Amino acid sequence: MSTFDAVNSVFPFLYGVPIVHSYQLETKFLLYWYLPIAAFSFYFTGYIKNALMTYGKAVIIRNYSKSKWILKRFIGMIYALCLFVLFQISIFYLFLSGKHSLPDGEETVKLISIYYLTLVVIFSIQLLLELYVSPQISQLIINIYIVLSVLLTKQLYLTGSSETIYYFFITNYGMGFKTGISSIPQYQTIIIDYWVGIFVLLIFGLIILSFSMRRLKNIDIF
Amino acid sequence: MIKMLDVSKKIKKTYVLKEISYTFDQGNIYGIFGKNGSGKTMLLRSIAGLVVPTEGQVDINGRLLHKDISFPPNVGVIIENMELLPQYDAFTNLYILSKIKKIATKDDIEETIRKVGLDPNSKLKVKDYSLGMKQRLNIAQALFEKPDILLLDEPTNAIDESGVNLVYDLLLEEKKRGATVLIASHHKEDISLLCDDTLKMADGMLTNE
Repeated sequence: MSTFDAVNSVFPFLYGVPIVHSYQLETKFLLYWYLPIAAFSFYFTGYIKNALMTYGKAVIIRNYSKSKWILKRFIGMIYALCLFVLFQISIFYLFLSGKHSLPDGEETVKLISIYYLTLVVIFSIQLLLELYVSPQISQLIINIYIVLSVLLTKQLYLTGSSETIYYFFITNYGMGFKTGISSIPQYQTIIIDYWVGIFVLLIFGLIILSFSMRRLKNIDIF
Repeated sequence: MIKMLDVSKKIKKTYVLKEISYTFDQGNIYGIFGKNGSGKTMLLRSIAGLVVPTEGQVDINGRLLHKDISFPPNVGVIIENMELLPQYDAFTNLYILSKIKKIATKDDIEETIRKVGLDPNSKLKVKDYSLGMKQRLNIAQALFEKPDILLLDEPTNAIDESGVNLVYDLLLEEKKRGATVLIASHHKEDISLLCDDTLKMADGMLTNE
């Protein structure tokens, strides 16, 4: 059994990266968890800026509401992300369902919901950043944030920081190991309350959308 | 009528438009000439409402841009990097855009596509168009809703000679209809015969020729 198989789950990506002393184990979990997310991030690079600077001009110039335009882009992102996550789930189900048993229904639904919501918020930040910096810089910033927030969480946990600070690292929300939803106690370190996490993610999502709408109203479209 | 009132635009400490005051009358064709980087495109963008002037205001028929209105009420624009959806054919592209304002019919779309020398029934996708065909479609995109104001940045770019004459005829038709047409170009000789007035753009300043 490989180290990664140690989580004994059909959907290991839903558990994220545990807080463990072993750097090798941490890196392995991080890579498995992070690679699909990095791929999503590449897909969404330029999703707002490039669309705005090309076809978006033809639309907006016709007095189409800027708020409506950006809302449609965000809905498009949410929809695409839904397909990505479903695809990810299908792939893991096909390859691992024979080796491991499925987690119970409620646990799976909760894990998928918060994982999906976390990704929506992370990529909403990437899209918002595109209204301030170039798509490439935005992608770089969000990827640095994703990786750093995982690594910093561990360091902060080991130094015994206050619990509130973990809520600023959104990536932790989508990890079953950190929300306590996983049924693998040896890797579990509960630092995020599941329902508080869901609430914070929804609030973050709305704030980001509102900021994006306000920003687009004042931005120059070249 | 378009009135520019002391319009300036500053980008990263550089003024790309400098205190431009000018009135463009309804039903005239204006040619704006100047070298690359002189500010022609930025002038058109500021009239189109795509950029917000750092100072001054743009008045469109008595209403101030970015104050009373976000964009001119009925404007057709060709501006750099403006692209249509590559996965659709010409008719579908314009049909999708027509749903926003709902003032152009399917017949208007077909007629305009034909006028620019393209086939409205062709299923060829825009991604398979030549540069000249894309530019013709861009012209159709600007014209098909019969706008009151036409802002055209290098409209004859990539178009062959017969196509250029076709575009000129179309612009004269638009003038007859009462549209105000602003054409930015770096080839003064090409379109000066078409224009009622020619203006020179240099270092962000607009002057009469």
